[in-house]
Order: sequence, then structure tokens, then C-alpha cells
Amino acid sequence: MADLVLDCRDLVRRFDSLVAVDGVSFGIGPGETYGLLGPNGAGKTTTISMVAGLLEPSGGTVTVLGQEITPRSTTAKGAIGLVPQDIALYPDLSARENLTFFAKLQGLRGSELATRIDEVLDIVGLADRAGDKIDTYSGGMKRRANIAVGMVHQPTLLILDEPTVGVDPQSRNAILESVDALSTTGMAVLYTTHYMEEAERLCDRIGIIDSGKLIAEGTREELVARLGDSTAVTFRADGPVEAVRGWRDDLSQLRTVSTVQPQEYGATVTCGHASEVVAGAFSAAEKRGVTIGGVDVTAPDLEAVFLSLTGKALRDGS
Amino acid sequence: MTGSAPPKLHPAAGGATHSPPMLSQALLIARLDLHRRLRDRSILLQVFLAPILLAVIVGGAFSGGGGNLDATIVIADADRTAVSGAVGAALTQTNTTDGESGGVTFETVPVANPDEASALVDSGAADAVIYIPAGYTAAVSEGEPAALTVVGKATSPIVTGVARSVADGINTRLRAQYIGTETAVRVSEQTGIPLDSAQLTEALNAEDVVVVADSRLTNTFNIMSFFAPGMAMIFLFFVMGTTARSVLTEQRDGTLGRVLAGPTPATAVVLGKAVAVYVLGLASMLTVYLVTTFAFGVDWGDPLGVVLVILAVVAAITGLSLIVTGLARNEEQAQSMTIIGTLLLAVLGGTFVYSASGPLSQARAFTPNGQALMAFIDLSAGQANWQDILPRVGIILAIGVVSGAIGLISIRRGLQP
Amino acid sequence: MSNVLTIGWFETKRYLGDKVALFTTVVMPVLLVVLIGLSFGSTPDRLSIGVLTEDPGPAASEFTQQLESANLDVIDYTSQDDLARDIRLGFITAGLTVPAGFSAAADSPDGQATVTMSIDQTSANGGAIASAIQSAAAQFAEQRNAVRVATNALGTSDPAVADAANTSAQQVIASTGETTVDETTLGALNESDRNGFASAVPTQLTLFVFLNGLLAGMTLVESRRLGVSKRMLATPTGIGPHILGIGLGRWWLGGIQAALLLAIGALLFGVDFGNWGAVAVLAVVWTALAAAVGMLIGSLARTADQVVAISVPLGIGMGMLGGSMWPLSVVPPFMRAIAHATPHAWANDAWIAIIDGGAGVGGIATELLVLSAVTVAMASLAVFFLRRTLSK
Repeated sequence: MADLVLDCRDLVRRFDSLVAVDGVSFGIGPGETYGLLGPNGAGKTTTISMVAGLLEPSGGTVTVLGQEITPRSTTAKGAIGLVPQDIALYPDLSARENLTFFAKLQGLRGSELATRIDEVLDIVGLADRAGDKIDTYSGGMKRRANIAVGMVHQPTLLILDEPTVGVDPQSRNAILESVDALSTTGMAVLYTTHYMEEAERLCDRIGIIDSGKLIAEGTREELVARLGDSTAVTFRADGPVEAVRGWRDDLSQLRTVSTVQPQEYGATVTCGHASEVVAGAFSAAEKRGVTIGGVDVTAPDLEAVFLSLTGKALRDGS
Repeated sequence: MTGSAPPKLHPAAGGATHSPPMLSQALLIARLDLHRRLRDRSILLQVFLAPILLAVIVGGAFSGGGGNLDATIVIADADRTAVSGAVGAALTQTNTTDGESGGVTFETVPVANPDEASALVDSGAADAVIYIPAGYTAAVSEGEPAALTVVGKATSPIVTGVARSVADGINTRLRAQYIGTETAVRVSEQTGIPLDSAQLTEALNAEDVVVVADSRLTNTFNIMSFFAPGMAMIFLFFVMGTTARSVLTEQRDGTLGRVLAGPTPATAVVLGKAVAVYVLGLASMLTVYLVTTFAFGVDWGDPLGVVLVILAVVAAITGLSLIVTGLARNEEQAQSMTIIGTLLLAVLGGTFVYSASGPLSQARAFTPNGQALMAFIDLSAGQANWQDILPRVGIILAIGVVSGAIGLISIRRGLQP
Repeated sequence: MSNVLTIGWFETKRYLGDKVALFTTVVMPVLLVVLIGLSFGSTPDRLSIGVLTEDPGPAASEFTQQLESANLDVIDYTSQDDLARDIRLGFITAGLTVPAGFSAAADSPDGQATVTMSIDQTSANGGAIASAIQSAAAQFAEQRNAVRVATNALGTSDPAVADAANTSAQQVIASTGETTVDETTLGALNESDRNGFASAVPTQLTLFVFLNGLLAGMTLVESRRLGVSKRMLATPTGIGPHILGIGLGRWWLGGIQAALLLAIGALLFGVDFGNWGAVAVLAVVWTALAAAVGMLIGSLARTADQVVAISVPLGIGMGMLGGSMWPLSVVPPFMRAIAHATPHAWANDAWIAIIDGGAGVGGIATELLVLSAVTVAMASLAVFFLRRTLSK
């Protein structure tokens, strides 16, 4: 695929004996927003560091616009904009000063520089505080300034590494809106997150990564379709431990049920026919002496996809 | 820099079409670094104010022409002859007219016995006494053994030594008169050539075979021109140690990673930091030079030579600071290495103690600031010109280049993942 | 009080774990004392003269040997530039150039050998050193002068007469009685004149104990930053003991440092410090003062970097001003007056009084009083400012 903006092939990264990224391949086309979804420690940041040319891959290649990216390929890096997970800004300088410095490093000069800085300040909504030191910003404002610096030189590929971690809901919304606006500019975006809703809302295509491996990839619809026409049904159930265990076994025997995920008080089931399964579950419960306190039927989503692929929840408890 | 072909850009992407050359990136990084450092007022204190203030203290301390003796030597005359009177008169004539500049002042006091002479020293009226005993001139003019006595204080051995030299001189001179006369008489007797007494007196008063001519060195040297650059270099090294800390801080804060994620090679980052430190150092040294020159009238010597030494030594100190940056693994280590390095350089380089001899005078040849101090002294006290100090400049630069190269390599290695 | 001791001991343990601190407290001052003591040794008892001999002849070397025995410290030079430089620096009192042709002129019947004495234009020592050189020159040329006098007095340049004069002069010199100088000195040599370490030890002690005390401010800043100070404020301990505790930690570290320097001076380099009671009291008061000033800086500074940035110039500057880098006896009176604005000058005065003047505690009472007053004032200010900073 010659017109891919980013093309990762068989990326591998080892840290001593630990394999953090294990044969990841994906591509992003022009103007596409690609989400890398996975729990903490799945290998998202390591993958991104290789894509941004900060880390030497142990194996595989990264090409951006046909040029290979390594820590030494300085020219090609001009096409990339990185928004690191940390607030990588000079706290003793203002947002404008930070933007000017990083933009100049990218080769922006003169009126183009000034225009571009004003543009990105507008996009992230910091125009009125641009002259203040980063030190004086709230957490959300710092995040937005962080993003502004990453996109000031109009990169062909913008990489955002968990830009909403630890941000209050209001700022988070502002950030998501900024990123959403980018898709209209034709920028290709690589977005990592462990928030399923963000990936669903922003991304054209999503790659699911777990334990260093890319285990599924596609549009949201494609991924959900992998589950078939299944629905997730969550039962809250109570009763003797043995009884509940037996009841869960019963559930897996029901028609159209594909997975049964035990929960602390009950179980989550993916199935084809929800109504039939719910009825079967109730009658099984009655036989076992298990009380069903509630039923929750949800349309299939990425959470369910992740669950069905890895057998574990995307967010452990958080 | 890999890839000579320009990157194919997606049509939608405008903005930067090419990355700037490495040098201009390095300068950008240098400018930002300087900008941020100069906002920190403690840097201004250490780099600009402290060396000048300390130099002023030193200038004040040594403004009174330090090192001059300030002593009174009394000629205690118990002989009381025409000759002994003439000896005293001749010495008091050498007294400097203005009493303020110190030096040795001679006085004549008639005494009766050695105890009276000692009493002059005891009472503080004299720092040393040259006692001419009764019968001294009579004995000397007959070629008999004769002795002068010098009485001095144990606490001022130099003054006692000077008095002794003066007494030696009196002895030698009077003895020479006798020997000259006696020789002339004997030769006259042997050869039968008549001896004319007027001619003899003239011969005795003629100049000696060995004449001591007196020459005064013009001296524009001011001790400030030694201490000011010495202190400036030490504070410079101290401040440059903060480079190490700033790189480590940027690494921790992620700004360094951000810069490296752009089209900026690691070399440009290191070079930029080095340039910033170099400019800061240069500004510091030049400020100290100009302020001491114009505000305090200190003469550092050949300006071209001074500038050459400054350019070289700032490069050397920059190089050393890069080694610290390359070796330090955390901010605490950086701080430690800087403090220890600063103190060692100060002591070994002769900033605090600059002696003509002893182990310290050997050690300083191996430090860049010591070499620079020697060059500054050659220029100011030695009135050398810029060509004369080129060998020293070469040594200093060599230290800078070697340490800088070691530093750059180790920093680059540290920046690579 | 036991709280103070607890904090003090805790701070000491933290400090001893810091290798850099150990280096600056122990290794540096000892190194400096040794180097300074070795470089300067005892006070010189002779004027020094640099001699540059441009004449390889025998008469020239005979002349320079004569200089050595003329109460002068002779240092050989090979370059006029070096000679001039060291005269200006004051390393040597004067320079003497023995020009090419010296030997030939001295040995010719009517030649005149001129040596040039160079001296700094600001020097007032010219007369003293000139008389020493002239005396040496006259002794060197004693026989030649006598021959010259005889031939001139007889108005002849006949070589036969000159030969006769030479023989006669030799005989006359042999038969002439020696003229000598007897020397007696009154009083005893000062300890600091006798032994270079007697001044190197107390001056470096003053300098480094103070500098380390100032840097102790870093501990306070650090503990403020970590919130330890606020926590202390919340305990029944309170802020006074907190500062006292940190200060105490530094106080006895300063004491260890002082004891080490004094021990090295006394045991290794044979310095006679005189009254050890006075030495101990002065050392204790000085270390307390240094710790108190450190606490004051620590209560005012915002960051550890600031403490370093302030302390190093302050420590060195006050040391210079107060006579820790050179004795106050060599500076002009107005600088001596200014110097007494620093505690260093008082401390150095007290050290000189003890070591050279044989003073006891009573003899340095004024100095002790001044230093104690400064200590109390600094410590009070430190508590005041720290309380103000913490309550913000």
C-alpha cells in the first residue's frame, strides 16, 4: 500500500528478556484516525516510541510516507508530530514560547510560524492564556498545550499517547473535540488509549493490543461484527457458592451462548438470542437455588470485543 | 541524517516541508537554553556579580602596595668619630622623602653602650639597630679586626636581615678603604713611583669595578587582574555544572524526548547546550574583563591576548562540564561532581593560592584554569603580547577539545535509547 | 531537649551517608591546609632576589656565589620576561641581571662591570636590597678594587705595576683583620612565623567550617520541600527545636571538622596552638555561628540551588575580607576596619591572639562575645523567617 502515511511491519521490541512489543503490524492512511486500544502495560507506549523514532526496534520496520523511521532518521521525523503522555513542555516558559521553540526546530519561520501558532492556540482553546507560563496552567490546560506543540508544524502523522489520562471530564471533552477537529484537516492520527469510549468516538479504525500483540484490527463495526450478532447480558446473581458455579455451567450450555465471564456477583454472557438466554438463565437459577437480582442487556461494543478476545476486562477496576 | 530524497507529503499537510540544518537547530536550542538560564537570577549572581565583587575585595586588600617593608633601622653610634658620623649621614640620605610609602627608614642615635642600643629595639623606637662600638673606625682604618652588632626582633627576621646587609656594607666599604690605601702605599714603595695623597683620595672615591645600576620596572600590574579571572573561571565551572542537571531534568520531564522526536539529531541537542554554556561563559569572562578594566582601571595586558585566553579557557571549561554531563546518571551525581570538580580546579589551578614554588606551582600546569592564570599573568605582570601566550592557549584548547569530545560522545550515548 | 538531640543525630546520620559532603568537610580542608602549609612553610627571613646571568664566565659565577652569602635568597632565572613578571607579582623583591661581558670587564685593568638591579616602581624595598647587593659586589671585587685604587693613585697603566699591585693587594687582604657583624635577636619567634601550618590550620578552619555551615541551609530547604518541616510544626516538637536539631547536626559536624584540622596541625605538623582551652571554646563558638548562618540561609532560600548559589560566593568573599585567605596585617587600615564587619576577622584575630600571643579564654573574651552575639542573632532570625515561611 504505497499511499499509507504510516506503515508498521512486524515491530518487535525487547527489553532484556521482556518482549514488550511482539510482531505488531498496522498501517494508517491519509486523514485516517487510528486508535490503539489496550490496557495499561499492553505495549502501546513502546509501539508509539518506535513509530516516533525515539526507540530502536529490535525487529521490524516503521515507514512514514515511504521513509524508514529510526532514532537517526531526522529528516523523515519532520512529518511526525508527537504528543507524549507526560507534559513535555518547559514549565518556566509560556505556551507561546514553547510553541515557537518547537515549531522553529521543525523549520517554521516568519509569518507562517506566527499564523500557525495562532491557529493551534485556537484549536486547543488557549489563545487567551498563551502568554502565561505553563506552570500556572491547570492540568487540562497543560494537556491541551501539550497537544498544541505536537501539531504546530502540521505533521502528516500526529501521534497522541493517552492524551486524556488524569484529566477532569470537562477538559477531557475539550481535548476530544480538538482531536475530532483534526480529522477534518487531513492529518493522519495515531491515538492510544485505554478508554473504549474515546476509541469508539474518535477512531476510524481501531487496533486492539494486548501483551505486546495486535490481536484484532478494523473499524468499530468490523470488530463488533467479529462477535457475530451477539449481545452481552450481565446477570447479578446471589446464592451458595457451589450453586452459583453450577448455574454458570448451565449458562454455557444454553443455545447461542458463546462466552461466559464470571463476575463477582453473577456473570456476563455473550449470546445470539438475548431473550432466550435470559429465560433459560432464570429457569436454571430456580433449579439451582440461585437468586437473580438484575439483568443488564447491552448491544455489543468494543469492551465486549476485548472481553471476548482476551477473556479480561479492558480496565482492571478503574 | 538519512534519506536524501525529500519526504513525500500528503497533499493535505502543509507546514514544514523540510527540517532546518543541524547547526541552526543547535543555535535554536542554545538560544532557548540561554533564555531560560538568564531568567534565573542566581546565575547572574554567580557568573557576573560574584567574581567582580571578590576581585574588588582583593583589589582593596592589596591597594596599599603590599609586600613593602615598613621598618626603622637605627644606627646607634657609640664610636662618635667623623667616619662613623659620615656612615650614619650617608644612610639617612637614602630615606625616601615621602614617609607614607613605607620602606626602610634610617635614623642615627648616639649611644654610650650596647645596652642602650638594645633598649631602642625593646622600646619599639627601632625595628633593628646597627650598633657601632667605640673604637670601631679606628680599628678598621688600621686593618685590625672589627665588629658591628645588629640587634633585631625575633618576630621580624627580614628587617634584621636587612640591617645585617647594611652592616655588612659598612664593614666592606671601610675595609676597602684601608685595603686600597695600603695596597697603593706598598706598590709605591716597591716601584718607587711617588704617591700623591690627592690622587689617592680621588682613586678611593672612584667607582668600584662592579657597579650596581638601578632600574625601575614600570608596573601596571594589579592583583585584581589575577584574582578576577581566577574567580570568574571557578564560578563558571560551577555554573556549567548545571548543564548536566538541566539535561537530566529535561530527560525526566520529557522535553528532551520531544525534541528528539522531531527532526533534531541528538548531536544538535548536545551542541546547542554546549553553545549556550559557551556563550554564557564568554559573556561572564568578558564582563569581568571589561568591568575591572573600565571601572577599576585594571590593566590585563595585550587585549588580543586576553581575548584569546578567554576564548580558549571558556572552551576548556565547557568541555569539562560536558564530561560531567556525560558521566552523571542523576541530578545528585551531577551536583556532587560539580562541587568536587570546582574545588579541585580552584585549589590545583592556583585560584586561591598561587605560589612561585612548591607542589601547587607544578600542579597548575595540568589544569585549564591554571594554564589560563599563567597566561593572564604573563600578559599583565609579564607584559607579554599575544604571540607569547599562544603555546598556553594551545594547551588550554587541547584540554577543551579532548574533554569536549569525551563529553559529547558519552552524552550522545546517554541520549540513545 | 531530647527532641533536639534526636533530630540532630538523625541529620548527622543522613549527612555522613553523603560522600560529597564528606569530601567537602574532610578531604578538601585537609588537602588545602597541607598544600598551603607546604607552599609557604615558615615566614622567610631573607629578602629574595632573582638572578639572571647572561655571562658564562668564571667571574660572573663567582659574583653570584657571593650574592648567596650576602643574606639574600637567590633564585635563578633564565628569562628577563619571567624575572620582570615575578618582580611585579611580588614573588621576588628584586631582580639582578649579570650582563654578557661581565667577566671580561671585571678582569680587564680599566673595565667596569655593571650589573642591573630591577625593582618594582611601587616597591619601597629598593634601598634595603641595593645595599645588600652593593655589599656583595664590594666583597666580590675587594682585590680588584684595591688594584684599581693603587694603579689610579699612582697614575699608571703599566702592566708590571698592575701585577705588583695584584700581589700586594693579595697580601694586604690576607693580613687585614676580619670585619664581622654580630647578630643578636630579642624575643622569641612567633609560632606562625616559625611554622606555616600555624596560620594555615586556623585560617582554613575558619573558611571551611563556615562554608559547610552555610551549605547546611540545603538540608533545611530540603526538609521544607519534603514537608518534613511542616510535619514537625504539627508535632509537639515545634519549630525552634526543629531548627536547633538541624543546626546541631551541623554544629558537631563542624566540630569534627575543626578537631580533625587541629589534630593534623598539632600531631602531623607540630604546631603549638598554646592554650587548648581557648582553642576549644573558640572552635565551638565558631562552628555554632556557622551553623546558625546556614539555618538563616536555609530559612530564606527557596531551593537548594539557591543556597549553593548564595553560600559559595558568600563563604569565599567573607573569608577573603575577613583574613582567611591572607593575613589582615598586610591590608590597608580601611580594609582592616571593613574586615571586622565579618565574623571571620574576629575569629582570625582570636586565633592569632591564642597561637602567637599565648592568650587564654580571658584574652579572647571580646572576640568570643562578638561571635556569640552574632550566633544568637542569626539563629533567632532563622527561627523567625522559617516560622513566617511555613505559616504562609
